[in-house]
Amino acid sequence: MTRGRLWTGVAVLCVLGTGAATLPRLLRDEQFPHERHTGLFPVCSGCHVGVEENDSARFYPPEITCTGCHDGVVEPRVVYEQPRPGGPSMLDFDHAEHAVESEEGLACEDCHTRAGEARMQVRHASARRCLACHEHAAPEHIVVADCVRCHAPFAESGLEPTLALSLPVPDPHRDPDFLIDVHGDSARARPERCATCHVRERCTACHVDERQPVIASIPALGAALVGMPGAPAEFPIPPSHRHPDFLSELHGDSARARPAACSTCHVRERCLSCHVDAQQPVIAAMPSLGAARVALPDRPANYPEPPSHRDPDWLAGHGGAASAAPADCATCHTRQSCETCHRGGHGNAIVASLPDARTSFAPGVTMERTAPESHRSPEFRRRHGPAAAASAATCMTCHVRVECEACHFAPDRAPFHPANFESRHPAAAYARELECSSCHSAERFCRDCHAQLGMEAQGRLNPGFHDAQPLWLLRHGQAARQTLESCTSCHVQRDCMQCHSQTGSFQVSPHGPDFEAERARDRNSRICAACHISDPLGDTW
Amino acid sequence: MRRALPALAIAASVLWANVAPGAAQDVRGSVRATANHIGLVPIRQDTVSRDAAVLDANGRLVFDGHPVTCILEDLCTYYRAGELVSGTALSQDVSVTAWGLGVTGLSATALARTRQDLGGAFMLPRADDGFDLLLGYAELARERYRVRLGRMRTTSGLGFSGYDGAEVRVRPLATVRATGYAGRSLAPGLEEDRDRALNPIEAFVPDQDSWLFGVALGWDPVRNTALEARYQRDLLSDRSVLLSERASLDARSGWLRPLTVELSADWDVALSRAGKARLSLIYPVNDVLTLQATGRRYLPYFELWTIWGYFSPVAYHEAELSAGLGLGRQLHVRGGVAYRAYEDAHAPIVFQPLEDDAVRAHVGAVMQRGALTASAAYRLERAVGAFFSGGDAEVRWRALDALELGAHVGLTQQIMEFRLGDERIYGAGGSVRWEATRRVILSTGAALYAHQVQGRPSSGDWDQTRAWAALEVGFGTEPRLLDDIVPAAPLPEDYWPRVEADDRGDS
Repeated sequence: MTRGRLWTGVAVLCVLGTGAATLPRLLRDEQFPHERHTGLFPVCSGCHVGVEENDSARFYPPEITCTGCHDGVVEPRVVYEQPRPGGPSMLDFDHAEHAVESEEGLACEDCHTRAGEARMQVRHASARRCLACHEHAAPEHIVVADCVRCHAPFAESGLEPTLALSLPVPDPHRDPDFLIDVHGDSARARPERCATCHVRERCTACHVDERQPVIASIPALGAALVGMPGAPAEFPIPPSHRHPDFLSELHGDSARARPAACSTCHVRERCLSCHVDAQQPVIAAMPSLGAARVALPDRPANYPEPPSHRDPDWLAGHGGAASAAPADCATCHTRQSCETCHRGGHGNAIVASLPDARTSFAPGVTMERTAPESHRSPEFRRRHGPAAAASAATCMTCHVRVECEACHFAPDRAPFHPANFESRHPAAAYARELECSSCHSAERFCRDCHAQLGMEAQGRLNPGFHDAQPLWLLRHGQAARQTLESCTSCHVQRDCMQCHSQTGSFQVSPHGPDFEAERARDRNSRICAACHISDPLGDTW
Repeated sequence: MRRALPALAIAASVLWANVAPGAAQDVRGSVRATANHIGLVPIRQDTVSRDAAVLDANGRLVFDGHPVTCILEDLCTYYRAGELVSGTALSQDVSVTAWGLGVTGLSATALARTRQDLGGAFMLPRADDGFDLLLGYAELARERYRVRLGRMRTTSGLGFSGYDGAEVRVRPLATVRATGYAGRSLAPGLEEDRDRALNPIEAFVPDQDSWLFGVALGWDPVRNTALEARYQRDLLSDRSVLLSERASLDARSGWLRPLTVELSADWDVALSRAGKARLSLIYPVNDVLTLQATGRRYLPYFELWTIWGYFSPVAYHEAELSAGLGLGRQLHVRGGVAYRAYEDAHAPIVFQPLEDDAVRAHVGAVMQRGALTASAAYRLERAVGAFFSGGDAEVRWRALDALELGAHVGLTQQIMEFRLGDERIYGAGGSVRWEATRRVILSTGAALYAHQVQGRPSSGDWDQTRAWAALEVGFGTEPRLLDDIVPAAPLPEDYWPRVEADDRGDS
C-alpha cells in the first residue's frame, strides 16, 4: 500500500465513519484520535483495509484491532464500535477510484490533512480540496455548477428529507429573476445539477406538468416525502404576461408555439375557465388538474376585447373574419354568443360549428343584442322596407322569419302601430302613408270593421255618407280613381257594378283612356264577363 | 269544446316545448295569448221624409241637426249614432323553430294562430276565423344554398306573398343570390286560399287553387350595396286566368358614403303599367343633422280577379323633404313636408273638378333619458276631400328592470273623406309591461277615444274603448332566455384525445 492510498483510506474513513449519523453530525469533528496513535500505524491501509478495494465492509478496523492493546493490562480498555459504512450521503465519491485510478495517485493525507500537517492529523476532506483538482465554474463551493462531479441526487442520498430545508442556497438563486427567467433554462441544460439539492416534488409544487422530461428526470422522494412540510407554490408573473394585449392577442400564438411553456404553471382547467373550445389541440395537450398536485384557486372567466374588435366597423365586418377562421371565434364565443344576435344561426354552418355553452366548461362571452347603427334611428321602423326587400338575406343574418310576423302580423296593434294610431288611421290609410294591404286584407279586415261601424254599402247606394259634396254620385269618379283603395275598404265590387256594368242601371264605363282592353281580356277574360254581357271586343267569350 | 281550444293549444305547446329538446338539438319559440276588447258607438243610417227635413243657415237640409241627403222626392237618409256595442276576442300565437335534427342547417319553423270570439255584438276582424297556419316550413340552409318546403311568405317590394310550396335560394358567388319559388298561393293578408277566405263576402272570388311562381336575382356589387330584381306570377291552377304578374326592383346603397340611396319600384306586367316607386336620398350632414329627400309614386295594386284594377286607378307623385336631428342618443327630432299631385283621373267633371293635390307636414321628437322615454308628434295634412291635424304624445317609464309603464294622449281634428263635419277625437290611454321572468311577459293596455263632431248633434258616434292584455311565454334555448350558464360538470377522463408527450412539442 502506498502512502497516498493509505491517506485516501483514512479520508474515506473520516467521511463514512459518520455511518448512520446525519449531516450535522457528519460535520462534527468526532472521530478516532489518530494523532495520539502517531507511530503506531505507519500506513492508513493497515486499519482501513477495504478502502483500496472499495470494500465498505472493511473500511473500518474491527474491534479486535483496538483490544489488542487496549486490553485493560497494556492499555486501558476503550469503547469502540465499528462504524457501518454505506449510510446516507450526498457525496458520490469513490475512494478506490481516487486512490488507484488517479493519475497522480492521491495519498490519504492529500485530502484528509491540511497542508503542512502530519499524516496522522486526520480531518474530514473539504470540498475545497476536491475543487483543487476538479474543474469548477466558480471558486466557491456552493454555486450552480458542476455539482454532479461529486454529488449524488438528494432524493437518492437516503438523507432525511427535512435536511433539504437547511441546505445552503447558492447566490445565483437569490437573483429576483432566477425563478422566472433563469431556472428553467438552467434546469433544461443540466437537470442533474438541480437534483443535487432538489427533489422532483419541489418542482411539481409549482410546475403542473410533471411529465416534462426535465422534471421527470429529477429523482423523486415519493413515499419518503410524508412528513415533509409542503413547499408553497410560487407563480411569479413573467414579463411577457404583463403586455396589455397578452391575454387578448398574444398568448394564443405563444401557446401554440410553446405549449410546454404554458404548462409550466398552467393546467388545462385554467385554459378552460375562459376557452370554450376544449378540443383545441394546444389545450388538450395541457396537463389536467386531475393529474397535477396543485389546487388552483377559482378564476373567473376573463374575456378582454381583442384589438380587432375595437374597430368601429368590426360589427359590420366580423362575418368575413368568422368565415375565414371560425376556430378563432371559438376561443371565447359559444354558439349562444352568436345566436344572441344571429337568431337564425342554426342554419349557419359557422355558428353551428361553435361549442355549445351548455356543455362547455367555460361560460363563453355573454353578448348583448346590439342593433346596427342604421337601426337606431326612430325612423328605421318606418323605412326599413326597401332595405329588407333589397337584401332580405342581410336581415336574416340576425332575424328569423317569425320576427317579421311578430310585428307585421301581430294580433294586437302594440308591436307595430304606435299609440293613438286608431284615431288617425283614416288619414294614414287615405294617403297610403303605409301600404295597408301589405298586411291587411281590405275585404276581411278593413271592411269587416267598417261594416260593423255602419260604414258599409253592401250593394246598396246608401247615399249620404260623403255628404260634403253635393251630387256625390255624379262626382265621385275622380276621387275613386285617385284613392280607389280607400273606396274598397267600405265598398264591395257589386256597389260599383250597379252603374259600371252592362247589367247596371247606367252602364257607365269605368275604364280610363289608357285602358288596354285586349291585354286585360287576355290576362283574365273571366273578370270581363263580370260586367260585360257580351265580348266588347267582338270575339266570342 | 270551441272555448277549450286555446287552453288545449297552450297545454300542447308547453308539453311540446318540454319534450322537444329530446328529439331536436334545440328548440325555440313562444306562446302568446292576446285578448282584445273594443267598445264603440257605430253610426247608423236612417231615413226621414222630405217634409221632416229643414234648411239650416247654410242652406243644407237637416233633420234634428243631422245633414240629410235626399235622392228621391220622399227618400231622404241621414246618419245618427247607434247603440253602444262591444266585442272581445282572444288570439293565440305559437311560434316554434327547431333544428339539429342530425343535419347541419336543417330546421323547422311554424307559426300558428288561433282565434276565438269571446262574445259581444261587435266581432273583431277575423275573430270567427278559428285557426291559421301563418308559417310552417322545413329549411335546409347551407353556405351556398337554402331550401324551404312548406307554408311560407316571401317579402319583397311586391309585398308579402304567402304560398304552400318550395323555395330554393342559391348563392353561386358571394355577391350573387338567385331565388326561385313556387307553390299554391294564398290570399294576401289572410294566409288562406282565396275561396275559403273571401267567399261569400266578395264576388268573383276564384273557386280553384292558384299557383304562385317567382324568381329573384340579388346582387351585392360593392360593399353596403344590395339590389334585387324579382318577377312573380300568380295564376289559376287551370292556367286560364292570371291573378297577378308583376316585377320589382329594390336597391339600397351606402356606397357613396355618407349618402344612402334607397330605390324600390314595381311594374305590373299583366296590364303593362308602372306601379309604385320610391327613391330616397339620405344624407347625414354631420353627427347631428340628417337630411332626406324622397320621391314617390304610388299606384294601388289590385289582383286581377277583382274589377278594381280595370277601373283605371291613377297614381300620385309625391316629393318629400325631411330632416332629423339626433342630439346624442337622448333626443331625436324629425320633421318634414311633402307635396303630392295626382295624375289626371280622366273622370267626368260635374260643376268643377275635385282637388288633385295634397300637402302634409309632420314634426316629432323622441327623448330618452334614463328609464324615461317620451315621444311626441304632430301631423298636418290637407288631402283630397279631407283634412287632418293631430298630435299625440307618449311617455314610457321603466319603473323597474322588469316593469314598464306607459301613458299616451292624443288630439285629432279631421274632416273625413268628402264628409261634412269637423271632427275632434280626444284619446288617452295607458299600458303596463311586466317581465315576470325572463320567459314570461305580461302586458296590458287600454285607450279611450271621445269623438265630437261639429255640426252633428250625435257627437258620440265614434266613441271607442279599447283594451288588450297579452301573456307571452318564451320557451327553448333562446340565449336571452337562458338562465346563467352554469359551467358543466367535471369533464370525463376520455373527453380529450390522448396526447403523447412527444406530440406536445416539449422543449
